[in-house]
Amino acid sequence: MRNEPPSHVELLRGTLDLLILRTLLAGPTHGHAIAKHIQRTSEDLLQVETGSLYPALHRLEARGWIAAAWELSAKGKRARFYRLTRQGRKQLAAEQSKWETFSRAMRLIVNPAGQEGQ
Amino acid sequence: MSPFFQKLRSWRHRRRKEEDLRDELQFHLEEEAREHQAGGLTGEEARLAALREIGNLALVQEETRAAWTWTYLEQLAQDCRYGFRTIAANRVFSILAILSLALGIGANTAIYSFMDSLLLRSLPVSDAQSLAVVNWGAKPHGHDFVMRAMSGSTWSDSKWAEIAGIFPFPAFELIRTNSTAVFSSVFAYYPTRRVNVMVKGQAEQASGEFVSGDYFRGLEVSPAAGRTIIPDDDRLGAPAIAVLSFVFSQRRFGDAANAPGQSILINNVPFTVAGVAPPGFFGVDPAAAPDFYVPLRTNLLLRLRGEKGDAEGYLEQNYYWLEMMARLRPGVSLTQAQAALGPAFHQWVATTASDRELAALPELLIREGTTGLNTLRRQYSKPLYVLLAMVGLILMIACANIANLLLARATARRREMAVRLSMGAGRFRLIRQLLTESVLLASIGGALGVAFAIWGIRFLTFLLANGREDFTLHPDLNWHVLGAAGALSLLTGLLFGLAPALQSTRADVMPALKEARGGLRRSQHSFRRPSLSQMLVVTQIGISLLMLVAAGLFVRTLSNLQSIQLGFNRENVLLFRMNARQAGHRDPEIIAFYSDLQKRFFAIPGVRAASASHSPLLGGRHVVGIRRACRPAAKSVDSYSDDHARFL
Repeated sequence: MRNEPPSHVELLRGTLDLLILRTLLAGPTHGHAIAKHIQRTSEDLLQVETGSLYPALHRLEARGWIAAAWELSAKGKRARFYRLTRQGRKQLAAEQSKWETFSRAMRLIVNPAGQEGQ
Repeated sequence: MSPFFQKLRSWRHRRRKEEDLRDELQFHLEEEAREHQAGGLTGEEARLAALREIGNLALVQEETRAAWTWTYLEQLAQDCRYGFRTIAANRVFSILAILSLALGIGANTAIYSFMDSLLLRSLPVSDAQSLAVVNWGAKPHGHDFVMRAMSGSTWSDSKWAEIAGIFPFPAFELIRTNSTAVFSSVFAYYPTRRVNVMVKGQAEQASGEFVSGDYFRGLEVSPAAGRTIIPDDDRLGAPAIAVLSFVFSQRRFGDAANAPGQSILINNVPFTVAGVAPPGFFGVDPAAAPDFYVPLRTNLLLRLRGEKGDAEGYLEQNYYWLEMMARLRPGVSLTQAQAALGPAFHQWVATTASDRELAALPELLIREGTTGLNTLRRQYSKPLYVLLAMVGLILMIACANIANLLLARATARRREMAVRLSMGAGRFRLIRQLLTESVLLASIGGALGVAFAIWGIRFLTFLLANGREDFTLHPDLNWHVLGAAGALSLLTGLLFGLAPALQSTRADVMPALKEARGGLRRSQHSFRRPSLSQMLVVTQIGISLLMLVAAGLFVRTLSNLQSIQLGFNRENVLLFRMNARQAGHRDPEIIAFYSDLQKRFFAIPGVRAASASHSPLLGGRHVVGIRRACRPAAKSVDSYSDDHARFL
């Protein structure tokens, strides 16, 4: 039971920003699509709550890392599309390297000898 | 700047953003529903499922709004608007509160401005932090003390039985030659006392400062016109020059630029004005603002017959008269300087002492000179601290008073608060709003208080100056003082607002909601234990009683001073002083001069009596009194001329 992996995990504090920025690197898209993309790409391990997604989007927008504009979605509906700004790209690079260092450190401690086929 | 304008812009686009957010979330819902529909649910079911997924839509909106940077500002503006409305709605309460706060804050600001100019403000010279005052301190001693003669003053503190800033001239030389490692300059000075200054044929009594050659260089003061005194001016036989204070030069020459090169007579000795000190420069002692500065050694020129000879003063090792200041080299502390110079001074002073005087020798003390000399501070700091304590208490009474009124209002507003709490308002948010209200009240009070302080400062200057014309303590409302007043307002606002705010938002919603509309029935538990408001009332009465007694004593003293019996009639008496000897009159003729002056005063119509006296009616030195209008004669107290008694 201890070794059974959970069906989904809670997002770590502060990681949502990174996920959003990384998702937008592929191109502009709307909030719903961002949530779905994160969910799908993480093989349903990560669920993004609407209650934290939109505040995060608006916070990132206020910081100037992403910009928003109304465009037509694939189904022809008006949707608020977010795209990465130049500042956002810099931020993404910074957060990504920070995260990688962090996860490397975590792995080194939690799984020292690279057991379990890592 | 730019984030601020960004905020302003987003403020203007607020409504549009609000719509955007609604549309955005609506789109999210539709997408979600569409997906569920694709998974096989009917339209209505899919919509409900999407709604379930998103949870509390209003909450999502609220939390997203929180990400907009201006939400905080907006809430503050809301609170302020609401606060103003409450203030306007409770007019009597607001006026009472604001007036009592204005009095409290105003009185505190006025006293603080004095403290500021007296205790905190630095000398108006560059890098005042590196200035040091040279003093000495001695343990208790009897009659046999190495300082056999002195000109100046001594005082005492908790550690030393006698402290002074005066030294013999050889000590100044000693310190100057031994201190090159710790001081970048050492300079000395001593007051001229009142002398006769003649400018363009018009004489007046003025006071100046004898200063050593390094004085202006050490203080790093540059002239407003001409030049300052340099070391070369301070030697025997150098041409006599003087540097005037800015105010004096303006008064006598119209403008500082006109003064250099002019000739003036000080005690009938010609001096050339070399330059003018910058405006605002008052020397090193905030208590005395010299009218002019002359090189130290010109005191030999100005020496008057009959006065104690200063020429010997330069060699005399037991005559203490010269005051000293120094500028520390960068990185040198006061203790380091004292450690470097103390032994040398000790050694020197031991050679000047007789065997019996060796028991208690003065020790060198290097003290902070940032704010200049301590004369005024010693004189006024105690009364000011007493006054500050008193006005502080007044402000506390005002605070307690308003807190009490607010508490009473809080009980009346309990229902309002309960309704708001039950509708989901956070307690913190409510407290913040109530505090905004009280800080708003306090700020209005503070603004009025500053106006009150302007008047208070004038009154206090009058009170402290006690009629002295050369009173130099002139505080003003600088940003320092205004900042303090602002901080005080904020603090008092929080102080009297916090308890009522906490009390009225106490989360006991249900009983309050059930209460009848329009307030509450007197609750049963009101007298069981001392409530906050009862404690406040007790404190208030206690402090008020104390203040009443203190104020009573204060007023009594004042009225005693006002109505003191001088033994003569004070009305219609004019006093002025002059010194004929300093102006160049010589002995046999001087008597004739004074009697002639007296006769000429008599000749003025309306003068009833005129009299000269060596010591005037109330302190001071030379005086001629004139009396206008009639008055029956009284018995004389003491007088030099026959008329003196008649005139009293």
